[in-house]
Amino acid sequence: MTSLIEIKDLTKVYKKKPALLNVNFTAEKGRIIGLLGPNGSGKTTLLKAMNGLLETEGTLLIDGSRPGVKTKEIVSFLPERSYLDESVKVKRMLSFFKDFYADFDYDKAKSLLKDMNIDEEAKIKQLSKGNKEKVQLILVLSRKAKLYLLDEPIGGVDPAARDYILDLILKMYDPGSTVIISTHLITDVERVFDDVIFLKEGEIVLKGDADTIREDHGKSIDELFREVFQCSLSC
Amino acid sequence: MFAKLLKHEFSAIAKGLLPIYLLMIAAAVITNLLLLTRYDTPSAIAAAIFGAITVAAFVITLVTTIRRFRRNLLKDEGYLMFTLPVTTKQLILSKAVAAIIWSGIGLFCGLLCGFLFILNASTFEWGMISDFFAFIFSHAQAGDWLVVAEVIVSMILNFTLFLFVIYLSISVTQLPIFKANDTVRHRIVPFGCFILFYIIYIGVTSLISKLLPFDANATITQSSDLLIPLLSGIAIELVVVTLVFFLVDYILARHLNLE
Repeated sequence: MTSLIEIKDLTKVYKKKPALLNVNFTAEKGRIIGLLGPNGSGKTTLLKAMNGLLETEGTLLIDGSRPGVKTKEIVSFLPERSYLDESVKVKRMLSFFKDFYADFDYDKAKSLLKDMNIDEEAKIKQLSKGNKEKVQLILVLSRKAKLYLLDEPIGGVDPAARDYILDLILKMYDPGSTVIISTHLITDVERVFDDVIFLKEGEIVLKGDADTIREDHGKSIDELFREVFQCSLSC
Repeated sequence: MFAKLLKHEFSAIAKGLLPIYLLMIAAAVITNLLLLTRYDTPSAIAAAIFGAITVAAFVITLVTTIRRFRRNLLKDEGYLMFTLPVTTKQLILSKAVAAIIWSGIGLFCGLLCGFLFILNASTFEWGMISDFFAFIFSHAQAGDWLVVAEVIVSMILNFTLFLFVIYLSISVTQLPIFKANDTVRHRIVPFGCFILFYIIYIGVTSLISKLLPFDANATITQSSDLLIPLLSGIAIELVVVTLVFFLVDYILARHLNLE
C-alpha cells in the first residue's frame, strides 16, 4: 500500500525547546487517524508542518512531495482558529473556495449549509462562534481532497452538533482519502478512528491500529489517553 | 491562480476604499456647486469638509494597505491564505498590485476633484485646455516624452518600494527574535524597521550617485540632460524593489510563524 504521509525524524524547535522531536510515522491511504495529546503536546505544530506553514528539520512528504503548492492542492486543512474573513457573506467564502480549489464541491457545500440551518446570505461576523466553526468545517469537507487535516474539529461546537459533525466526516469520507483528526475530546470521537497517535511533549509515545491498541491494553482509547497523560493533565 | 488572487484582493480593498473615494468626489461636486452660489460660509464649510475627506482618503488608503497585508496574511486569515495552492510570491504580488491599482484610482479621483475646482475658477475658459495641449505638443521633443515616461516609471517604482518596505517591516515580526514581546513586536519593530530601511536606502543611494560618472547636481539646460540620471535612478530602484520583494518572500516562506 502506498503511504500518503511519510514523516521521518521530524523536529521543530522553538527557542531551544522542541515542539516536535524526531517524529516518525507513515499514514496509508484510506485511514482515519486520531492525533491525540494534551495542549502543548505538538499536535497543531505537526499539522502546521504538514500544511507547509512551518519550516522543520527532517523529512516530511505528502503523496511523495514536500509541503508546497502541489500538496496544498490535495490537502484540506481545518485549523483550530477561524480563518474566515469576517466582513464577507458565507456565500462569498464558498465562491472563494470554488475559485481556488478544483476539488471543491459547491453544491455539496450549499446543501450542508442548509442542513445546518446556516444562511448563506449571512455575514460571517453575524454568525455565532459555533456556526463559524461549522461553516469552516463545511468548506473543508466539501473538498474531495486526498488528505484532510482537522485540528480540533469539534472543540467549539455544542455536544448535539458533535455527533452530526462526526457523522458528516464519516459520510464525506472517501475510502481513497486519509483523515487526521487532532483532538483531546476523545470520548466523542473515538469511534471513528482506525489508527491513533499519542503525542506527548513533541514525541510520539504510542501509535497503531485503534482496535489492536484497545485489545492489547484492554482499555478504550479514552481510558488509555487518561492513563498516559495523567501527569500532563494533573500537573 | 494569480488572477484569482488579484480579483479577490481587488474586491476586498474596494469595500474599504470605494466609499471614501466616491465621498471625496461627491464633496468636491457639492463644494463647487456651493462656490457657484457665492454663499461664503456654506462654501467654506463644504471646502473644509472636502479637505478633511481628502486627508481621510489618503490615510484610509494607507491603513487599508497595511491591514490587508497584516490581517490577511499574518493573522488568523493567514491559515487560509498560506494553505491555498499558490506561492508566497503570488500572495505578496497580488497584495502589491491591488494596492498600486487602488492608489492609482485614488490619485485619479484626487485629480478629478482638482479639475472640478479648476473648472469653477472665474478665470477658467475651456479654450485654455486645448491651448495647453497645443503648447505641449508643439514644443515637446521626442526626448521630453522619454523623460516623462521615466519620471512616471520612477514614481511607480518608488511607490512599489514604499509598499514592499511596509510589507518587509510587518514581515520581520515573524522572525523568532521578535517573538517575545507583543507590543514591541507589533508596534515598535515595524516602525523602526521602516525608518531604518529608508535611512540606509537614502544613504546608500546618495553614495552611489556620487560614484556615477555624472554630476547629479549639475544645472539642467534641456530635458535630455535628465535621461541618463533618471535611468540610473530607475535601475537602482528596480534592484532595491526586487531585493526587498525577495526578502519579504524569504521571511514569509521560511520563517512564517502564525500564532
